[in-house]
Amino acid sequence: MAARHGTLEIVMPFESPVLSRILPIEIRDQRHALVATLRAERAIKLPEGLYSISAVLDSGERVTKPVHVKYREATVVHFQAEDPAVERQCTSLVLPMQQATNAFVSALFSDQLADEAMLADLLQPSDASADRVAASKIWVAAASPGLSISQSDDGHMIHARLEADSRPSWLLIASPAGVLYRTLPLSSDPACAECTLVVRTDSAGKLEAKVVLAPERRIGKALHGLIETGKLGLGVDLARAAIHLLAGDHADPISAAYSGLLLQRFGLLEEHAKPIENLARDFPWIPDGLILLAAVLSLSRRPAQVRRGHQLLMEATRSSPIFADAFSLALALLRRWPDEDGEAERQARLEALTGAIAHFDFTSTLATMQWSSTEIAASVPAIAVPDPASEVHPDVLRWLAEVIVKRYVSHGIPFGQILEQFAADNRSVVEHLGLSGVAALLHVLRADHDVDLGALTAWPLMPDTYQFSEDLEDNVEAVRRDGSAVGIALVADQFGSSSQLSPAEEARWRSDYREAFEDGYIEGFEQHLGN
Amino acid sequence: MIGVSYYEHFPDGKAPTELGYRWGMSQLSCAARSAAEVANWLATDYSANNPQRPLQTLRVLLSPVPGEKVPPLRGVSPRPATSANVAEALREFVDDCKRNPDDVAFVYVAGHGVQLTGHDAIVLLSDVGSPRHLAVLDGAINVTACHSAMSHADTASTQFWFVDACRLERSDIVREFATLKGAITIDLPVRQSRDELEPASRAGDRPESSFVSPIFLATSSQETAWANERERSVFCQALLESLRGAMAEPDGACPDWHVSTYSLAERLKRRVQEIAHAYGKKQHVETNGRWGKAVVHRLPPPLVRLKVNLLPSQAAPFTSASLLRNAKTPVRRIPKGWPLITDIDPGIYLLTVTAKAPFNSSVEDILDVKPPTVDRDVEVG
Repeated sequence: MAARHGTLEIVMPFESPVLSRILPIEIRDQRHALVATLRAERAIKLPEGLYSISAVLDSGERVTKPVHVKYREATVVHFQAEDPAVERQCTSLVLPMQQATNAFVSALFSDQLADEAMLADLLQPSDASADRVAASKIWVAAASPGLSISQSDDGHMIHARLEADSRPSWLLIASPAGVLYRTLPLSSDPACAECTLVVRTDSAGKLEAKVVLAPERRIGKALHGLIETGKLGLGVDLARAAIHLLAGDHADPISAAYSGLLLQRFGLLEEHAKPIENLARDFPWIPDGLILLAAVLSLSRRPAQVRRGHQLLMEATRSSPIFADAFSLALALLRRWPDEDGEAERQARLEALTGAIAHFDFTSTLATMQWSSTEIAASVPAIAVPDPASEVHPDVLRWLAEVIVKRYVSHGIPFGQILEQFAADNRSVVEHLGLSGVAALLHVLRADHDVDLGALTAWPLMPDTYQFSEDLEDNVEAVRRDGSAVGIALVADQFGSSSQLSPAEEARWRSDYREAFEDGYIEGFEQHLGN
Repeated sequence: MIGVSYYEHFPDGKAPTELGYRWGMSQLSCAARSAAEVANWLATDYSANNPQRPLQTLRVLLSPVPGEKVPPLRGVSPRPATSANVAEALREFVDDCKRNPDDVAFVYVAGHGVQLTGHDAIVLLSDVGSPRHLAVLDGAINVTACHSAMSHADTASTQFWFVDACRLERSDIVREFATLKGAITIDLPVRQSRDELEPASRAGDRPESSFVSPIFLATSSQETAWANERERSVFCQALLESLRGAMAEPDGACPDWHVSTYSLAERLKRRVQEIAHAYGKKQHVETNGRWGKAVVHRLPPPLVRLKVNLLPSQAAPFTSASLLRNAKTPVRRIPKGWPLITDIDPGIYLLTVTAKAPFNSSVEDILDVKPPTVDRDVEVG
């Protein structure tokens, strides 16, 4: 007997020839066997029965709908687009912001502590944005030239539009907890000139900023969505098509660069060397294209091409690439270039990038760096730093600090008691550390774990030992007489918040402070414990 | 299969050294157990269901911490995961892979990890920090470099690499050991001759699609790999769930129920996030390597746990249900009572729920019953 058929009709939220070719609609029968794959088609006759219809949307999400196809009936399945409300919520409030140049960001990529101190000024919002900041505690601290910025009333959405010619775009977003640097995937084509960032702070106070592309940028959005949701097969298929389409038509060169990076990541770059060459030639302002071409040229057997690759790599790593994967690739190339020529130059560039590596978030798609307010504060010269001349290796200090945090701080023990308990539990370790080591350990606890050393005043021995004066010099003398690390740490805190000293006095204090550390700390420490 | 929980030269090991202190790490709780469980999956589930590519060799290197519950291994004796043993096992593995390009290779490495870029994964072995070593990375394996070196024409054409380790940046290591001297790796094969800017395949003359070698990294850069202490790692849990059928289905290329590289990547990414999130942690799987579609594992259609909840629950005494496969064939022996819980074959079913007075209601729902579980609410009130 002939099968009784019905018709299945499918309505998709987009009609894109490229996406329709790459993102198939799968129809499975009642046993989940694949019975049809639709690409451009939107209707099919099927024997009556139950089916599962699965489509991948341009957001990267897979949506599956079970349907009942009935004899001589048309069954229509609608797949809905994601709610575009996110992109509409940003109002057109123009934010006054601090001016910044690309040189500023290039400086952040160098390995100098002073550059982190540059960020200190950004930790305060401008007066003009104070009202909005009061609500969200998030503000745009700086932006690349040519960007116009608006922010939603609740402060958690930031809209950026490139008003000038194509160039690398970036934002520095600040909160009381720190500063976030993020590149933006913008170019001058109208569909590619704007994006929205959804900004929040996580439970640890760290800033997170998700970039939402304009709906018209369908292929770029789909690429990101497919990779984010782990649909790597479809992502790679789309990247193969997109790198030709987007770079060739000059429609979305940044998404073309992202396609190239995906192909590189999945071992397919060499097969797409031509469009990479075109991308680097036509869009030299995108560092990622230069890095990709350098990767291709690094594989050449021709010395001249390898040298050209080296030059491109050096040029591209002067500033931030747009994508994190490009930074990873650049670092790998700097470390493992196939030719010895230029080795010293590559090593020097690696050294210069070490600071950026420390702050770089390799988990993001777009290049992202983050500095906590503690890190920024620690880099400001006016803050006292306990003895950096400690001979104990930093790794040992970091490990000890982690032990203290894990065993004591996380259990809510007041810090003063922690030191006492730690010293009692680990007397040999404290002896090994010496005075300067303990001071350096205190510094690690404060800098890396945000432990409040001000709580040292809770140490029960302190009131009996020190009568603190309002005058810093008096306190210095008192501590010098005794040589107690705890007293020194207290005075260091007082010193850190004091503006009483001139630079010359400060230098003298540092010298005295070190001497005091080196005079009989252990004896004094144990005497306190004995009491 | 390599699993390193115990590090002899770390501060809490039996023979701490200054170098061991420098790593700033402690013993792990379940890396060896995780590797042993994956090894047992290969020796049992995989072997039973993949006769066309049967398991030929299996090397297991484990260094458990005292008290770690490592399951007995099936058909193989483990060796300690020291650098010498790992180097020897790697040599044997490379030789085995050269025998037949149609072979399949699995590599799973669990332990402490470090990274230098977004794509690196270096795993520390049990004797890292030994005073006998010359370089700080003696006693480590550069897994991504080994993986890259195995991407060529004269080796197994289908490879699956899994790195279950933290990928924490150590800037001091980066500065001092940028060239990674000391870490175990495999020499790159001599490059195929060709000119640049021409289509070429790293896997020689083999068609592009026939060489597949993804590498699944348990974490993104600078992330910690989490574990349920003394049980198994989050990544291992998600991997075994996926391989046991949680994301299996037939498709046009392979009508058998199977786990493919595509479905494994999708499932692992989502599931690791879910499990880590349940513990209040973040962990993101990253996938690199030579990409393509390949069958990882064939298996019989897995039974699916179906749970139908009745709303309101007071309707239970008055309500019955029927389940028709393809809207035609009744499913027999549906348990009575609510919620309705039953293990059934995957497929598409018509569920009919009928409630008598005082509820007087009948509800039809189409259920797409796919692994691993389906949970559905039906309202009759």
